[in-house]
Amino acid sequence: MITRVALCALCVWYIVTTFALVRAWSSEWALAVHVAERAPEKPRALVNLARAALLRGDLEVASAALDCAERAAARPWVPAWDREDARSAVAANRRLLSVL
Amino acid sequence: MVWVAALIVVVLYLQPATWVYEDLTWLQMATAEPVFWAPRGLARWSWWWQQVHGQPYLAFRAVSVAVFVTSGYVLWHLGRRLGLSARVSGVIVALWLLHPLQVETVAYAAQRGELIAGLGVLVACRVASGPIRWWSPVAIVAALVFGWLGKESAVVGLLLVPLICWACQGWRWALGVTTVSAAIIAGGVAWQFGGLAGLVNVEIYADRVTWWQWVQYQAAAVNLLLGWAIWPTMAITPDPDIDRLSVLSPVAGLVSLAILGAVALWAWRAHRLIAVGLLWCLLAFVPRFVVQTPRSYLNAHQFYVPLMGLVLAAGGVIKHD
Repeated sequence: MITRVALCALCVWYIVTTFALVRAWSSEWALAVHVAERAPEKPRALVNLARAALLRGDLEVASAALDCAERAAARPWVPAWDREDARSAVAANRRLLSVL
Repeated sequence: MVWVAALIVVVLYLQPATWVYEDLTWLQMATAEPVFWAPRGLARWSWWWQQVHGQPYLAFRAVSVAVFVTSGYVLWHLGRRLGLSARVSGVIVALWLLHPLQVETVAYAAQRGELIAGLGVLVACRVASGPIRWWSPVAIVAALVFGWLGKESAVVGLLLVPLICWACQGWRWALGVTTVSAAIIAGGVAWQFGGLAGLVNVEIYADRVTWWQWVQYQAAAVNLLLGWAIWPTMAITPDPDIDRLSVLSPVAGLVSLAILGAVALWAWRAHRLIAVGLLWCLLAFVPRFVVQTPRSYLNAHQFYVPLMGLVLAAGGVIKHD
């Protein structure tokens, strides 16, 4: 009886979490927001948020996300390759932002 | 139980959605008919076919869901062959189908190859679990080739088929299959990848990542993916330090794998299914955590096939309860 109740509870827990994750994977914007919320100090997550905002035409959010990405990339524990990738992506997106 | 879980999966996944992340790259690649007989050839071909027929995004996801649910059905059969009752096997398949770690593989259309690879591996293992007929070796090879046409990750089947043979067949058959698998693995590594450096994708990071950082990434992947498998809520809660690799990460990763291996060996005689499940998880996971790059070390689809092993082990625990 205890095993059955535990397994039912486990299934309900899985369904609720899966539902939340499927919603996150429903669009570029929803995914970018989910990842940025989950890993708010990860440079690539913030660059992707900026890209998604650009695609939506939300230039203010894109600019703010690029600022955050730049700050995140400067953190001492970010590995050199990651910092390099993030900075070049930030620069490319800033160029795009300046044209729009 | 399996059908109820499958129905929930359909309802959960077939919601209004659209392309995300690298899907569009795949769509661009799918404008011309791809080479079929190559790794990911079948996955690319299926994309191309759907695109040519003008199908909407939801049709792409529906195909992924169909492959996923079919895999669940084959896993149910495998559970039965490994000694589980229909009900317990249904429970573990429900856990596998509903697990949040599967979302990335199923909802992300670009990962269809991983689903095909998983299905190929499952079918090969189901056939290897017996009863053995004259056509069984042909069917195993065909299933593994099918998986490989989905994604090269199906090569873990060369480790999992011998494991299932050791669990279900006599030692002569198991030894034969193991020898053939080992020869294919050795030949494949030498021919396809030109040595270990090519296999582990290390060359593009050679000047940018030290060997110690490489070890830390792989260990962090072990810790996090195992953690998410056991406690899935971790996959949705904020973790600002997710990329902050600690000196203790490799130690924790090695200890986790060692515990899995030790429990599996201890359980081999008395609790065979628990042992098989844990060894399945180890064998399917270890090659992945060597080849994944620092950019992709936290991809949840890395754990798609290993999770099958964990639920099989769970089935062994439930059976003894």
